[in-house]
Amino acid sequence: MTTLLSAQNVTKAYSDKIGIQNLSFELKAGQVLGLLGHNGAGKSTLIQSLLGAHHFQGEIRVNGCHPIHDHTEMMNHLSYISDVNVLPDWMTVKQLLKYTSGVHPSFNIAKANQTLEATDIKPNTKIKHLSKGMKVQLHLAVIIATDTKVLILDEPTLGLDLIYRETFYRHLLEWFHDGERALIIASHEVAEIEHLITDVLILKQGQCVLSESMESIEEDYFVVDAPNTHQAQIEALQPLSKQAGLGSTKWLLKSDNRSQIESMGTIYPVKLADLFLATQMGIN
Amino acid sequence: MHPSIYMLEKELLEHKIVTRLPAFIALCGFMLFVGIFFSSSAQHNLFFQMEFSGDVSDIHMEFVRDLNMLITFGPGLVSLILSMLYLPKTLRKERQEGSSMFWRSMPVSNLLTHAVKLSFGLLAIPVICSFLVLFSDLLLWIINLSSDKQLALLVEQESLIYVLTNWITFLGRMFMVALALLPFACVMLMVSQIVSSPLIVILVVIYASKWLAISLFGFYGIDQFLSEMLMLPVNILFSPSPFAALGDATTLYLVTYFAVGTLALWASLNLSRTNEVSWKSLLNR
Repeated sequence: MTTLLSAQNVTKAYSDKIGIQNLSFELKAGQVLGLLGHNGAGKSTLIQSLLGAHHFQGEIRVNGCHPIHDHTEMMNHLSYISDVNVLPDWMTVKQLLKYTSGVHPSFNIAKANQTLEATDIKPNTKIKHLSKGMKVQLHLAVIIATDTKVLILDEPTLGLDLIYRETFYRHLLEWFHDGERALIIASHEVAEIEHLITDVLILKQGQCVLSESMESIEEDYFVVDAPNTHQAQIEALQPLSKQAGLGSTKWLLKSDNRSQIESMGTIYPVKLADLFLATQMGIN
Repeated sequence: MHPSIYMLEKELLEHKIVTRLPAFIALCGFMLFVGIFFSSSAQHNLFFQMEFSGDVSDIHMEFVRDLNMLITFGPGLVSLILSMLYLPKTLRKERQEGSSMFWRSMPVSNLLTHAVKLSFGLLAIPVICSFLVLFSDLLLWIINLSSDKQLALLVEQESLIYVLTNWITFLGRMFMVALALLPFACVMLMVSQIVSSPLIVILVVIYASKWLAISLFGFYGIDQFLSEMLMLPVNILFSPSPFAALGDATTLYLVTYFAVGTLALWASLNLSRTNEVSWKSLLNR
């Protein structure tokens, strides 16, 4: 698999704080990376670095291009959708498509129009008159019509209703499976993206606290629901988190301890949301 | 078609005042034309002195010159004003309205973006305003053609060749104005990325540097340099010979002015490389 994105020791320091510190990861074609973290954990800072929107220390390559020095070339292969509308409000849909077809070498205007035909978006409508969901649909239609290799989504479905979310992810997956592509999704809706992602990168206060594939996570962690009588034994194994129930507690543990625990309670596969909470809050 | 064509079209769509103001002036001119065209008394009143005296004295020729100056310098002034409104606004507007991330997501270099914005501000706007000159001359030519009397005030507009050559001359003059404005335009693009009121900041800096140099060191060089260079586009526009206006400029000042412009363009290109715009980020490599 081709490496489409690599980040080595990426650090972004502001005058009063560290945004992200020594982040390293790689993204190959076919991978979908879930970028998770509490508010202010550094997700947006990392995304801004990947997009070349601000200066950073370390090394980032997107399809071999530096985000700042080779920005023009990089943008042939990289796209971005955020929760905030970045499309120019004063343009009509038709004008936006015409402009993009003029400046983006790989943009296929027929494909964009075809995608939009399946929506309620009319070519002569001004972007400012579109709903939030429509704006996201339009932006995705523009991206689908380009030969983008890496797509970064920053809370793309925030504020969208269920129907828009469903349509959005359907179009996204169709596009993703249509070529050698990679995807980064930053979201607070852990459960919503869990089934989409192949890898996860969890940040806390600018640092990486977990970077693994979803397959490894299933192998490396498990949840046990054990009666409270086993509390002392389980606590000795340094669980990552616990969730108290009625007479029993759910513990999140590393798989190294699985053989010692199995007889104490019911074993469940770990959910990404549990792991995320464990990395953010630890054991209470 | 080259991407710059689409980018210029986008500027035209985004900054509607560039077309609307000249269109409004043209509409006013057209209504005046209709009034004159259908009113023989208005024609008589407007061109009374010329018709009555029957000779073309110096005073009458001054009237002719004044009319033609109005046709040339009016649109020239409108063009200058529109350029001055557009250039400090264009880069800043994208950031303020939040669309800069979208424009940055297109595979377009900063250099091309700057070239397009400078071309639009210094060339496209004068070309749009030049149609006012063409339109006015054409209307006067039609009045001249339709009148059964020789209208001395419109002696120049007798020929369609004059109408076309006057338009081309205006374009040439505005091209020279654009050249004289180029360094200042680069400074405006740079400053507009850092401060929210670029024109006010530039004016304050200009006056502060002038008066500080005079009051602290008794040095008048900065005052002379700024006065000469900032008046250069205006002098080229209003001078009977734009080449003479350019030739009158001090060579050392011209070289310094263009060096400042080059430095400002470099700084502006560097500032627009990222969304992190500050003097500090200018030095980041």
